[in-house]
Amino acid sequence: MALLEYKCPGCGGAIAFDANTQQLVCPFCDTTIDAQALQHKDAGLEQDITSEAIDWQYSNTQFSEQEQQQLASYVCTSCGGEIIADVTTGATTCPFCDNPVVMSSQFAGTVKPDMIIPFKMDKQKAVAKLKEHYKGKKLIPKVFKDENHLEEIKGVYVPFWLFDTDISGQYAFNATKVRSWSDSNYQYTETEHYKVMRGGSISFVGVPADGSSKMDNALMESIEPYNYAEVVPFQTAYLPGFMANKYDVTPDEMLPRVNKRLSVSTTAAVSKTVQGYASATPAGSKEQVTKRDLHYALLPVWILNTVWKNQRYVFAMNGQTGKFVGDLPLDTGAYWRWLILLFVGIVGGGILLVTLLGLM
Amino acid sequence: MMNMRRKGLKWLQRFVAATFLGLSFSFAATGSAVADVNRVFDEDNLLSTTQRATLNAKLSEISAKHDFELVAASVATLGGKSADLAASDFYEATDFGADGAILIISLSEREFGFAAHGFGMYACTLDCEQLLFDTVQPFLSDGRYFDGYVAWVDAMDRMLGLAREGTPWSKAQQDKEEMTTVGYVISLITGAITAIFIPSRWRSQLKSVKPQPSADFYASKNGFQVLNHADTFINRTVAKIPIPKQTSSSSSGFSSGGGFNSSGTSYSGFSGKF
Repeated sequence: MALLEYKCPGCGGAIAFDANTQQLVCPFCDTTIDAQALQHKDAGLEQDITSEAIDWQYSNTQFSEQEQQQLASYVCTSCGGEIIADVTTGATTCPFCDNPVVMSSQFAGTVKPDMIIPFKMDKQKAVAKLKEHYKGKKLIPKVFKDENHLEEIKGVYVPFWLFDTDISGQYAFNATKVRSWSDSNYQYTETEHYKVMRGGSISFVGVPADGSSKMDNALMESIEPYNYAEVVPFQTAYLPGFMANKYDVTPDEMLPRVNKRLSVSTTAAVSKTVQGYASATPAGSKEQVTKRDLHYALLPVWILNTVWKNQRYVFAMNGQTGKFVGDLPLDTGAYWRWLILLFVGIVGGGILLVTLLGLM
Repeated sequence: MMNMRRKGLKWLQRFVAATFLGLSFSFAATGSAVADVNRVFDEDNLLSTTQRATLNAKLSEISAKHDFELVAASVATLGGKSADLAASDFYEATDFGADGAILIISLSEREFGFAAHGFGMYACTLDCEQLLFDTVQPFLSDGRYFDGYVAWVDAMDRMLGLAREGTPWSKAQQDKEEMTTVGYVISLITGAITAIFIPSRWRSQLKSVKPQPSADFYASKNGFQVLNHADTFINRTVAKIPIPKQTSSSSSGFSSGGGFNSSGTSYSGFSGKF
């Protein structure tokens, strides 16, 4: 059972998860099915991956050995077509019959995600958000907006590692209090120096780290945060209709990045407790992690690709909150035109105003 | 035909010679008129011979330019008079004419005086007198008497020019000009800052992919829970900066004078210490 395909119990057509209704919908007969009702489909996923009979096969004659290690082929259970995908692909559509398929083996055993946040935003919303993203930005080349056509829009469940941690420690600060006064001859400034110590703890829940090497880390961090109140236990029933990847970056690889973010936040939080001083500079700390919990989650992301002047522009939208990001090209000519126009306008207006006031 | 040519050539030669002689004579006459009159009466020997000559040439040039007599003098003593009265009496004694001004210095009494007669009374307002005092006094205090005289002549050149145009120099006018200059500079700076800031801000709007610097979104709402704390006083430092003293004009040594001099001629002027 390498491929899992969800069929409509009414007409037998392939069904997909709908972000608006939060249910599986049959595009042929409009039958809706609650994802929870299909939980039995994932019954076998608790077994260890090594114990499964995996029926994928490699195309030895087409790919080099290195390529084979990066690719896997599956046979579509609807049309019998061969689906060649990246080894980390967990859900996709059949290129022959366009049926959504789930590689259930990618989420079985030790690699089964703990949780998932289902898509709440659909493709139309992503396209609308892109247009909104262009609005109010005066320095985008006009032709970019007019000419560029989206090459690809895909909803992807991106693998994330979520870190829960408690940090406790002792933190030292050099702080000052400043008082000023004067007499008829001198201005006095008195500075009192203090050594400030604070001991305590802080908790963090679900600090995310991108577990897919195919996703740009900065792009994924830019669409944070996710609302974990809407997280649900993982079920493959949420995957049909979207792409999904298995993680290929381990938590250990992401730990330095996570630790850096935690350190910045912890220092800022402790600094807030040092009050009543004119200045407080961190002067050392001794901290320890008292809790380490790790979760594997699939989080929804819309990825939009476009190409302009041979350069690829990638946009991402948080599939839950709709937060949209993506760098845009700069119209250098417009930038300089505005700069000169503003300079001439303001200086000219100022000189005119000053001259008129001088004549009065 | 040849005779006609010779006659024409002779006539041209005579015309050129006459013109050259005429111009030479007029230049010589003008030059001697400007340079021959002595306008520097350095009785206290504050200046060198060269400085006297240079100052005299400058006084003559500006006097001719504005049709106004400028005289510079130094005396051993003011003879018990106020510096401005002594200056007015000295000027009248030089017999330069009804329209003129003088700057007189007495090193022994460390005073200097200014007096203006005729058109000078119109040109040198009270504001103008204060400006002349502020211009000259620092040089005299430093013992740079020649520079003080030259600064006075330059200031008089400007004052007389404005007065001849019908608007004698005033502090209000000066302030207005300065404010206008400041206004232009502010316009320029505002324009430059705005022109750089606004398009740069628009450009930064194009960049929205940025790594999250912190994990603040995921910190517990209670923040850092303090379990123990200690605030220990280490030491105290006190820095003191002297407050600059305000200098008032009354203590600067400026004293406006004027009225009638010893021979009953009206004048305006001031006395000052250095």
